[in-house]
Amino acid sequence: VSGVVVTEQPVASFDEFVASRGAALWRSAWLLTGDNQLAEDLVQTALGKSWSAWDRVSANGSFEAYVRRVMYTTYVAWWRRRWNGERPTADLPERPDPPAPQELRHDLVRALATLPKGQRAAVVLRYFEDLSERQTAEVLGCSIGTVKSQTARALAALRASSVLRFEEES
Amino acid sequence: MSDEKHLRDLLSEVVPEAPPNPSRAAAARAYAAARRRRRIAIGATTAAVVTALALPFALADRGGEQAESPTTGPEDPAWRWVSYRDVEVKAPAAWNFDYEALRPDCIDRRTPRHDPWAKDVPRAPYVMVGVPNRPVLLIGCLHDPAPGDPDPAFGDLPFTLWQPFVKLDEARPDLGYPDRNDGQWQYRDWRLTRATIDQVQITVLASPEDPSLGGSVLDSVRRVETTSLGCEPGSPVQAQRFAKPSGSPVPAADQVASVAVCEYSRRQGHAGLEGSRRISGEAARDLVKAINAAPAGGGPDDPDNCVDDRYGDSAIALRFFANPEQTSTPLAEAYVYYDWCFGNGIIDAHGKRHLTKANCAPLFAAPPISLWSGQRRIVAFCGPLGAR
Repeated sequence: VSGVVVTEQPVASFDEFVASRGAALWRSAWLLTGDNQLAEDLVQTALGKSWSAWDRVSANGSFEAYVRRVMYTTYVAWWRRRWNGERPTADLPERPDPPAPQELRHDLVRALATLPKGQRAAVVLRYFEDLSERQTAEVLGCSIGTVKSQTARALAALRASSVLRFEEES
Repeated sequence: MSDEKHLRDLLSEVVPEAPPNPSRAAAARAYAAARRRRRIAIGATTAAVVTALALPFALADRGGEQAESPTTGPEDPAWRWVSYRDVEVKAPAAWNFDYEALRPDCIDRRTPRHDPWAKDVPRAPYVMVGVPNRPVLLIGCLHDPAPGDPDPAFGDLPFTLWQPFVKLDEARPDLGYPDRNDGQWQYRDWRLTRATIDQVQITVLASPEDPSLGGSVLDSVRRVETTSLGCEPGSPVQAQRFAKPSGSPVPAADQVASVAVCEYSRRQGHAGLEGSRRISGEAARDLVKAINAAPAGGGPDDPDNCVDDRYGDSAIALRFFANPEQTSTPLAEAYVYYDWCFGNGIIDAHGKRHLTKANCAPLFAAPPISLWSGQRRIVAFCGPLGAR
């Protein structure tokens, strides 16, 4: 029984979707995890969980929203279980040619890492994905009020860090 | 510029470009296929488990009849009953009680056998029941998942240190830990089976030498009103405040053939029978003598260390039997309090006695009842700490 359904899926179109949108998904995942490999794991897990719904969901053009929802809910649930809210931040991921000053990235990644997972997901959805509060609530499966309180707390925490003072000081 | 606008800009600036990964879609499909295979496998085994469990429960519930007494009927000497709360299973009689490693996640994967964190890893097949007062180190050791790692359901212990085990513990679905989910998994011919009966979770890790162990253990599940060692699933001793037994006081030593030592968790929302042992013969009579010879009044207490409205996390009920095989209608009961800064001592229907080395140390002499933490003077009488 196992595995035979693989050949029944529209592999080519799914591959095209991943090829075109995989990098964008990875960038959101990176902001959630702060780590290249964990971001890749998160994207692949979300894609793997979503693939069985490709036929049903892709027909109306909403597959990317579906994958993103799976990715964010997986992130919140997965990290709650596996990492229990703790991530070491002493060793930051190494990348060549930083697009922003290293110090800034260091501060932001460290500040994001201190946020509870729900707050971090809300911040990335609201301020990186540019979703509205309603859309963010739909992705996370919570109320708009929860999104408001989560983002307010996250912003308060980030204000206490050096991140949001960066501009004033520079 | 507002904070929110500023944060938007910063997030866009710092996020790196995604590294190229042409195999991303293929990896996702492989993940989906593996996930589907596992779901099918779990579905099949779950049906089998439910069938296996339904039979003994149906028998136990039949017309108000009690479950068959473990002391009646032929028993296979290769197996023994192991109890936790009101659930009993049969486990291999040759396996000793032991405790799983405290921090398996901290053991170095490269040299697991020689890692200091591996010192408390059982080195032989074992049986484990809930440990109500074991301290937990509030640290965590993260290690990168590697290709070919076992499913998280197997926990963090490195494969080379695995030993088969049977474990009964409190079901905690609220924790959401992947290594506490029910189901069945396989890794290199080792089989892990986990099933929950109300508040009790049963876990069996079977080695390739005995792949049917999980089925055998789950086939034996039964619910009892009194365990095979003579303990009750619940006791007044598990209440938040101190209790006094009714009935007779501790009898004279020559009337006692056996003592059931029943340890209870007293934690609110998690109270009930944990570990239990049976002390028989001369050792039982020595224990009774030591209890009767102890000074009247409680202690030792250290009230300077007290916190209001706390009474300790665990306590022991002693049940004194005239017959070595008897499991119900004891001659008397006594409650042993040792886990807090006041109220310590042994209480029977007549009064309270002081804890001494002679009347307390035997209670913690062997798993599955161990003293993991305590006031200094309690440890001096009842220790050693964390006895294996």
